[in-house]
Amino acid sequence: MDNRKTPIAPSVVRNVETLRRRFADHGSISFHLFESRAGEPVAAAAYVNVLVDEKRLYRQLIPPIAERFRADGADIESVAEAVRALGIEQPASDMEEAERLITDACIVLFIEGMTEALGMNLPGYGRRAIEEPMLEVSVRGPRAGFIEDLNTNMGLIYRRLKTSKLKSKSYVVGNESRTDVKLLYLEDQADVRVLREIERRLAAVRLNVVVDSAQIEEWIQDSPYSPFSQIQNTERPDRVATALNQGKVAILTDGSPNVLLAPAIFTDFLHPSEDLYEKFYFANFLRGLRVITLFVSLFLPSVYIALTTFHLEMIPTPLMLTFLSTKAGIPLPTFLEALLMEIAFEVLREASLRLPQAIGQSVSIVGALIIGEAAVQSGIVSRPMVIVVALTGIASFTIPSFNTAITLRMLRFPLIFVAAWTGVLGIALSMFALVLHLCSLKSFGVYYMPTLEPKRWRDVVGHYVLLPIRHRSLSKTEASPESREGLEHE
Amino acid sequence: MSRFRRFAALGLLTCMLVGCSPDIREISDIALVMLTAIDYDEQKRDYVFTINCIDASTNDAQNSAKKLEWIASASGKTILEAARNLRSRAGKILVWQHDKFFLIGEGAARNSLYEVVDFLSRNRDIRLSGYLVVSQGTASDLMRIKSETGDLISNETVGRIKNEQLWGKSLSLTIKDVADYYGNPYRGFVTGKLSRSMPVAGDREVLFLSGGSVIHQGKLAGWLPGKDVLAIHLIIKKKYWRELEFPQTVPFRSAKISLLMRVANRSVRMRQTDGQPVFDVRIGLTGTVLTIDKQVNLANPDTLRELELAAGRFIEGELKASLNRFQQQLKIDVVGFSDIARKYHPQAWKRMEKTWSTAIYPTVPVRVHVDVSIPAIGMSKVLGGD
Repeated sequence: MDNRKTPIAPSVVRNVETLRRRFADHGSISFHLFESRAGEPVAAAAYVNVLVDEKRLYRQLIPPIAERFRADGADIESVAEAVRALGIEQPASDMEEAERLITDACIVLFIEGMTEALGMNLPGYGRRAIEEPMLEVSVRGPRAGFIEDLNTNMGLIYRRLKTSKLKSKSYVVGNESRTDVKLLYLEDQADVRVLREIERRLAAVRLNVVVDSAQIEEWIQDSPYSPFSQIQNTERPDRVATALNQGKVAILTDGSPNVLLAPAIFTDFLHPSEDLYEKFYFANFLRGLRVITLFVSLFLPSVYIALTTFHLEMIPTPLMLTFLSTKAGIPLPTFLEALLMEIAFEVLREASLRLPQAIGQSVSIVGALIIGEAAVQSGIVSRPMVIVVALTGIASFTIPSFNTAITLRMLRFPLIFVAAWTGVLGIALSMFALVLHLCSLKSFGVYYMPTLEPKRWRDVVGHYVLLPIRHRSLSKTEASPESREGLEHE
Repeated sequence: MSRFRRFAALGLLTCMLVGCSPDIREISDIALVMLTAIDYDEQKRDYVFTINCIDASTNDAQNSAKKLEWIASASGKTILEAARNLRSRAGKILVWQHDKFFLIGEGAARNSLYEVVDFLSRNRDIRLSGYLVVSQGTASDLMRIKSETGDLISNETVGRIKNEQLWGKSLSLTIKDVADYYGNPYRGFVTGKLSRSMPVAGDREVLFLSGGSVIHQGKLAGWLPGKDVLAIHLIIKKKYWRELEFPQTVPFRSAKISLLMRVANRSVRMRQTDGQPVFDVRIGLTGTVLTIDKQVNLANPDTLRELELAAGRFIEGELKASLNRFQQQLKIDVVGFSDIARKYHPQAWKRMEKTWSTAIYPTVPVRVHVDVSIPAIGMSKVLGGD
């Protein structure tokens, strides 16, 4: 990569020419030339017309500047001073910096005789209004969700944490996209070593174009080949505020409404922020329910296959009699039945997700009718299998984290294969392997499964059970001494 | 990355192995054996194995309520042979794990119960929690009798076994319990008795699970009437009397009072008087008054106490009569006094061991004491009287 910098020439005309050359065929670059009373070019403003607010530019900025230049005896220093007073104050010492400012919705002003350009951020592109997040819906609690604009998102967080202890660090990631990334943390709460590790990994990101936080997530997480996400993402500012207070670090990416929260542990993905807004009895009831649905969505089809093809003695007799009558005349083995139904369910889910909402709903209804009723009526699939697949699907929808729900749905397939091969023994071994894998994962030096942390019992319990607010300790997600060692060796 | 590749390769390999397992039994390929009858043909010296089973093909997916039973018999020189010969007649894989009921024909029970129990307890397909009941007559004939309720005969029979604790005059043991008692040469045991009979106002014979069959030294030794079975219910293991609820009609003054009894506590102890063993049986019962045919003022504490004492004496009398029959007529220790002597008085047992069955058990004194308490008499006006 060519790291040579092009200096800014004292001649405005030359600078404009350089920029014209650099932005040849760009299509949206615009220049405004300021002339002196004598008609000589004294300054030039360069900007990308689709990024800046041109109306404001021509009403509020250009006229006073033009007037200054036309005034008698205007010396460069005083003009520059006046321009700075208008708010044009981001300096660019070379052409590369000026180019970065221009592409970042800035107006960059080159003044004759000055080897430094001045920029001002004047964004004029469209922004989405702050809406309720689509995926993290809650019955009670704040409705605001992040949008694609970094500054707005920062504002949403700063409004919730009115303290000077809220610190941020800025990064630019992506050689071409030059995406702004901000790292937010609460001083005193965040673990300094975890913070340092995140900073180190962020600095090491090598990407050309960053359009979403997911790319950064994949780049910086500890085990990129694990199916489990080790960094949480959220669209809810209230969730970020709570997480910052727990000592986590938030990573905001410009252009992405998803804010990353690290380090994350497995239980974080099972508890939506709404838990905090409900009575703790109800919240814990829901948490218990979600643990059940976690196992149901992961194991139900495989357990059904294992029981009905290997361990018939484990099924209670009345249930066995029902299975016996419903399985009569079904041509497919249970394993194939399950596989077909699961695939059909995933296809339906994907189809209804990709279609516009109104059509999507009708697709899922028609699909459910076809799969559920027609398949049973024609004797291709047995009734219990339809119930099993439907229950599994619905159970996976109760997992609040979309990533985790997908992971569970995906892991269900190898489990189906293993169950069809070795029965309950295979399921037990797979579960053992899964627990081993989860226990071996770390998120920035913090064990992914919280039970392994040698902490006070209340902290450990706090990861699973929501205690009444008076007894709720700030269960901080911090690296334990033994897990930290991993950080230092990295 | 290489780990990931290896893992992916392993996953693909697993996919190919699906269906390779020889242990797979699809539900549509099996027939559930719900009831098994074992008979012994003395003339041919053959075992006859009869099963009642349900299979998927006899049902259709549209009508899951319809369950047809298939009954088939096969014979063989040994039980295993007979059981295997049966497979030649079955179009499906026979699955015994859901069979809760094993009916042993009278002939098989009298001649070779030992082989039957040995087969049942060795076979890993058969659950030891299944019930073993002896039939009066040929078991396969009884099994072919249609159920009274129209339900599966197996469901009906298992339901009757569960109801035993609500009347007490029948007692069915599981294969596990039978196998436990089996090795003990000093005692016998009682399990269920299945017979056929014409019910009141019935038009065909139906099955009755009532009374008991006495097994001693690996053979059927005789039958017991219902009230003797009730005595066994009260005296043997806690698991049989814990949930027991039985009706008892007590003559009181000139009235007849029916009480629903529950066992509160029970103890059987052995003591030695002048070197001779004496057994004390103490039973505490709680009664609820259910019917009275004449007015009795039970609200009066003295009358109530009198009733309690009368009920106690009456049940004592019944129990003593039953124990006398066990000791003097049957001469088989069906309640397990020998176990108590062996467990709690090992020294004395060593002396008694050899003559226990022949000399000691038939004459050993047994003191029975029954305490009845009636904690509530109810609120009905009829009970109060004048």
